Amino acid sequence: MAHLPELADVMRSKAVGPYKFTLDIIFKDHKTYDRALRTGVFTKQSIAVLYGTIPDRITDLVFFRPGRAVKITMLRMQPAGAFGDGDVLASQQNGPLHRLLVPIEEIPEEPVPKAEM
Amino acid sequence: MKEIRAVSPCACVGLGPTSWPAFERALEIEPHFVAADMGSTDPGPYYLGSGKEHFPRFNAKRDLDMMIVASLARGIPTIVGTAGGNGAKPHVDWTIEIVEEIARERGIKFRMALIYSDVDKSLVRKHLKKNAIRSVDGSPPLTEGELDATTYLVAQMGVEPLMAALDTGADLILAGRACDDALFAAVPLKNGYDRGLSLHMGKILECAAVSAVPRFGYSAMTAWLREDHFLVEPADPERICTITSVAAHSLYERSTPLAEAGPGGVVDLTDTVFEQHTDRAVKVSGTRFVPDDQYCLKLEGAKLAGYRSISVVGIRDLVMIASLDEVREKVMGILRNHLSNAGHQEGRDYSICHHVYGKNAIMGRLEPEIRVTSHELGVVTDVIASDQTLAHDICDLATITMFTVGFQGQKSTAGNVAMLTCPWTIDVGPFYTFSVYHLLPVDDPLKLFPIEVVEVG
Repeated sequence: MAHLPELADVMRSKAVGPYKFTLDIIFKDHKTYDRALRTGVFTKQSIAVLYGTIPDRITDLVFFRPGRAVKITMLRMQPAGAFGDGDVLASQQNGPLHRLLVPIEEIPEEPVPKAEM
Repeated sequence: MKEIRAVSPCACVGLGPTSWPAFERALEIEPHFVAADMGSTDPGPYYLGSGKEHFPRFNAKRDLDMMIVASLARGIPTIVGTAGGNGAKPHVDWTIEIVEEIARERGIKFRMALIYSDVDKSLVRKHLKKNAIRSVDGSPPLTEGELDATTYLVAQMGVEPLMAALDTGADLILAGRACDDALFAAVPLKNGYDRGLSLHMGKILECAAVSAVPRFGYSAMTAWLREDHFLVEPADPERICTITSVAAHSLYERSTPLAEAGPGGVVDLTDTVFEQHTDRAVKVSGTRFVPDDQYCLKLEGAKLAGYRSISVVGIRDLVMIASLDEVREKVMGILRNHLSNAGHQEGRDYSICHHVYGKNAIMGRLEPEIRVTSHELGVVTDVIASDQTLAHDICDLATITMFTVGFQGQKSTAGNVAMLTCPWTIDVGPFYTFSVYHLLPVDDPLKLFPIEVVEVG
């Protein structure tokens, strides 16, 4: 088991237009990326649980090997800058990723999941 | 070798401390043009809705001066997009005034092509009636009410108006709302280079050295575009581009790295190959442009939605921290009752909420952490009302009520909260929200973007 910050160099969040924000996880190296992905921990379901939301609010989950990155995009709870919004640029929505446990020792011998559009 | 060389001085004109030495060094590649954007919708709806800029004027002037002087000395165009931060008419006009000031102070003359990007609401209304306006990236369906209330409405121009502006022989192209990558693709496309590669190069260059290591948006990036690939290299010798730093930038500020939708089509990165070309440069090839059946422009608009007042208080009393949710509920109950008696209805005349720092102010309902462990909390009372006086008075009342209200177990009976400011209510001013974020189908990519040529100086 490893917490995500031990495996990733970058864990950031940012607005994508007024209605969505996106999370970028960039792993330390390709080996770590491949190992982390093989655990199967990155699913819409697991991210939804991490954020206390439902998988339907996650619009994209993409694995991008050239950038050794996992990208998750979800709908904001309210549009950027709307009443009740506490993060206009959505630049601090990455916090829960720090709690993500990756069961990295348990590596089944399977190919890396293919990119999902 | 046939190639186009491009320089990007900074990720956003006016926003940061753009490195002059890095820009000077970038110019050594003898670029065919210099380009940069001045903003986007990211800073939020206020800037678009109010027509105001989101960065210091002196900083915008410095960056523009640097670019204009470099261009004139080399006889190459400078292309600036999303002028003034959001690219609506007041933003463009604000930028023109700075440009004219630079010309006056330096005693220089040059030709400027202006491309406004404001959209006539009646055109959108016509399309709305035909159900031809599409939601995009999670926006709700557009209503006529939202459209009518919109203060500034712009369309993100693609590469075509910028190419047309280059035909005027302008030294400076000042564009309203424009796609960042298009600013860098205009010169290449005029010279017959591949659209996919040109736009992908633009996507990387628009954030300057954000795609380098160490990353920094205010240090220049250089690029060489050739027939079947392009190279990117940071100008500052202390920085390098790596396959990962460049590839990872394809993720930035968009929902998927593999397909970037823009006016007229999608930049498809499925078959893109990133190679380490030298120690500091990365070679990119294989990116394709896939045209859409229907050319669409993205519309952006914001509307005035009230007036805002806030107050900031801190809590250090441990009983109050433990009781905060209960106290807040009590405050809201007292307030609603009081305001309702005065004829003010929540939802119609005002909205109020608390942002509790130390609990869930940043993530709200998405915050999975339920324990509050801090010995102090911050509470921002946030009020939007139909006029500024009402917002101010409600915020005052809410803040004082939180200060004075009694609650179960209270030991600190001389004030529940620490006021940060005096006066404790801060009037933020007009409050704007996004009202339009939709796709408009067009037959002609140029039609909405009139080009004006001005001889400056």
